[in-house]
Amino acid sequence: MTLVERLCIYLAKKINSERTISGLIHILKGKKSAQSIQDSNVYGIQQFYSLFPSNYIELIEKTYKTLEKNNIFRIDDNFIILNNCNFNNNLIEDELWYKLLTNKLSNENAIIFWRRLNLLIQVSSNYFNGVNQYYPVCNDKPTQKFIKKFLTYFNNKSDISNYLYNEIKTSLNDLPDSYNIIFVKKLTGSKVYGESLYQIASDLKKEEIEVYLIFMSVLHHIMDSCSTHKDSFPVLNLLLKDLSIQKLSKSSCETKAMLCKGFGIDMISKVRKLKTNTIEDHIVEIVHQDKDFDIDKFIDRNTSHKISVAIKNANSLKLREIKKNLPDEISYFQIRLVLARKEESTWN
Amino acid sequence: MELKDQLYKYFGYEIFREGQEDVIKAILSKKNVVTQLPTGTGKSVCFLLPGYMIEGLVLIVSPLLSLMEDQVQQLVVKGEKRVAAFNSFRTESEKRKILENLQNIKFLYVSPEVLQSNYLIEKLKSTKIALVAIDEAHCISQWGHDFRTDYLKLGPVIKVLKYPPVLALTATANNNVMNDIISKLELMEYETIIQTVNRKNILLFNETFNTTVEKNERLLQIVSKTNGPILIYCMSRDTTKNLYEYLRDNNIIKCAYYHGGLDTETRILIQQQFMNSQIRVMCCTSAFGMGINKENVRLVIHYHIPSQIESYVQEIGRAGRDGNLSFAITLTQPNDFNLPYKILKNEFPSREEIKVIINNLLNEQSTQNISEVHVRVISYYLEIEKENFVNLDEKDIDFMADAIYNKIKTRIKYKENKINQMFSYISTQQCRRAKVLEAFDEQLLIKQQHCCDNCGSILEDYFENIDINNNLNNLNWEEELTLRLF
Repeated sequence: MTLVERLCIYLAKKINSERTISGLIHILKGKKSAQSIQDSNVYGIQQFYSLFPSNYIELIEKTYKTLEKNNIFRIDDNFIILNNCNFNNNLIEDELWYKLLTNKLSNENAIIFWRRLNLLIQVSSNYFNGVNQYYPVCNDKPTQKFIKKFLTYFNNKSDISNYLYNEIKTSLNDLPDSYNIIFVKKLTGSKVYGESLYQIASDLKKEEIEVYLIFMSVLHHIMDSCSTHKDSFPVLNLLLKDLSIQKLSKSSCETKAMLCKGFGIDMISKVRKLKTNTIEDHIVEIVHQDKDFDIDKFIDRNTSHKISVAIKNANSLKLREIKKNLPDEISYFQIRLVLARKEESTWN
Repeated sequence: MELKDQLYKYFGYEIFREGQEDVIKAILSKKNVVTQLPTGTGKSVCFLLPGYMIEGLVLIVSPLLSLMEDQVQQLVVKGEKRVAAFNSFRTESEKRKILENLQNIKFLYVSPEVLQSNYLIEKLKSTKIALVAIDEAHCISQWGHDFRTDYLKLGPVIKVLKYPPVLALTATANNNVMNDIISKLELMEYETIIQTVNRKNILLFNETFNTTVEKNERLLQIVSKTNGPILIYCMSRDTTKNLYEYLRDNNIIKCAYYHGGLDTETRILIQQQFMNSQIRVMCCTSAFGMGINKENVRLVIHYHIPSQIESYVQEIGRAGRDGNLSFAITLTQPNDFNLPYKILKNEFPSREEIKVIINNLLNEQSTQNISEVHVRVISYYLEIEKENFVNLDEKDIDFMADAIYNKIKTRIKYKENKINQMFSYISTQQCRRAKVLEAFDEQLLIKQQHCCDNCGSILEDYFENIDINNNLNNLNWEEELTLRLF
């Protein structure tokens, strides 16, 4: 089985026939909706949220079609139903890249971090060699602006290469050579332009998507190193500055701000001219995002406990199944809050 | 300072290429100029250099967003900061910033669409305009191979801007197209400067195969026996990838594929690897090449046949810009001849679809599920036709659909003729060079020694034994890191 097939089955298994393919694809694409963000948390696939750019999404969609044709699963009313599948999750979860994709910093932030690092390496290598005319490897305007400002922190710009070399090397020393070579070949310097993922895949005779996953995992590893041992990575750490992409949708951010000021759901709904349902969606999203967010206002201990028991008994994460076994006065909103707080790991 | 010294000062070139100097002199004497310069002549020098010498803004109209972005980037790389692109890639705030800062901009690249914006036009009206340069001017003619309806609106724009000097540039225009350019731009006085499309140093060949296997084997042989950079043009994205894999499997290591569907980062990397000679062989669609100025491309292979000779001339024109002997080869198979017709068929809507689109457009309904190209074609014709009808009832819509369908039929016929013309180039027994020139209303006056297969040139005579360095460099990751950081 190819890796992309394994991955597709794995993800299908994780969402447990409770979501549609397009629901899953929204997660992989990183759709900024409360539903997708929650789903990725509830089903324990947060590290896949917004992981894939469009060309891999196409590949994944194509693979699902092939798998369906081969009767690995059937699609029932758009839901993926696995056919007596004895697929072992460890086929994915034992992979080193899976373990490195911690999602402490989101995938979107990882991409921004990569653009900055990529451009900075090219710029500093060219400084080192005294070259001042070259085609920038990243034409993203915010990134270019960021690096321009970044450079003003350094008096002697031809030193940056040295700092970067040491810091990258220190971080990569934790990882196997087979991972490092993939990451390093992507880098562009003054003498050579970086290799694209498909070229690296051809060189190593690997699937391109595997090369991509490894690349992303190394990126997460480097970001992790920098944020946990700030002192050892002073320069790389600067690249983590204002990584502002929050998983929270914009509207939820506003709700959160008002909640923090002490507004209640009804009040917020009135002021923002939004349905209370919507505000509740926001709150669930916030709880997913912020582990320390206080939910006692919305649910008491006793109710929370009842819901936990019901979830265990329902053996499903579908709200309707859970609600069946609960008294009527307990709302869907409260069930979702408990789901959001406990997260997937506790249920399986 | 002499013109030549100016050229050296701004571009580092010692001499002008054929035609450049004439065009620039005419511009400097404030004439309107319509010019055809052969591919690889460095058309942009024709408006950039005068731009440096005349006071005011140079407005450059360019049909392709990616090309525009690329040209701006290249100027920036060369240190020219007073340059901007104004197109749909820009956000509203970026656009506003450009306009507020217009007095500090020397070269403004615009798409023909944004020239319809009143706000931009108002700003331009109060700006001194040194020159309006219209790149790929054949887009203005419906007899041009790449007709763009937005180009038709350029005439009125020039008028509103009170007739600044205009330079219309193309590499591929026959007489019809030339005349169309002049009339659509409503130029009263103008000078035409026409250079031959003939690229003397590019030799022309065609080879025909019965099977794809034979074709691929020959491709591999040619690639292995040619020294220098090679472009292999394909019609489909999948083919570029398949050929890449085939060549890699056969030890052509410095090879890559490129098409418009790749993500931006990959596109930049692959382009620059090619420029930097990390890649020698590029399997690509027509998306590759525009704005890429690599002087020593030795060979352009067409694995599929383009649907018009103009595209063919553009694409082979990327070979031999250094003036050295170069080669253009079409590798054909009998069933290749169906492909362009098939593509053409999908390009235009059917009579039924036309009606649906008209209805949707008139009722301002979504056209989301309909091909964007179809919608664009129909809305253009609809604008023209609408005036002839009053009621816009069912009957009128039927009439309108008929009228548009007839226009489209003419257009399809025209394009079929283009394909036929391309095919007759492929199958001709006569001089290929003469055939190309004929398509541009030119005659081949002097017979060349190195010309084409039909004139007796044999590809094998030019084969070289080359030392392809096939060893992948076996650096470990620390060495790779050093290579890239220092």
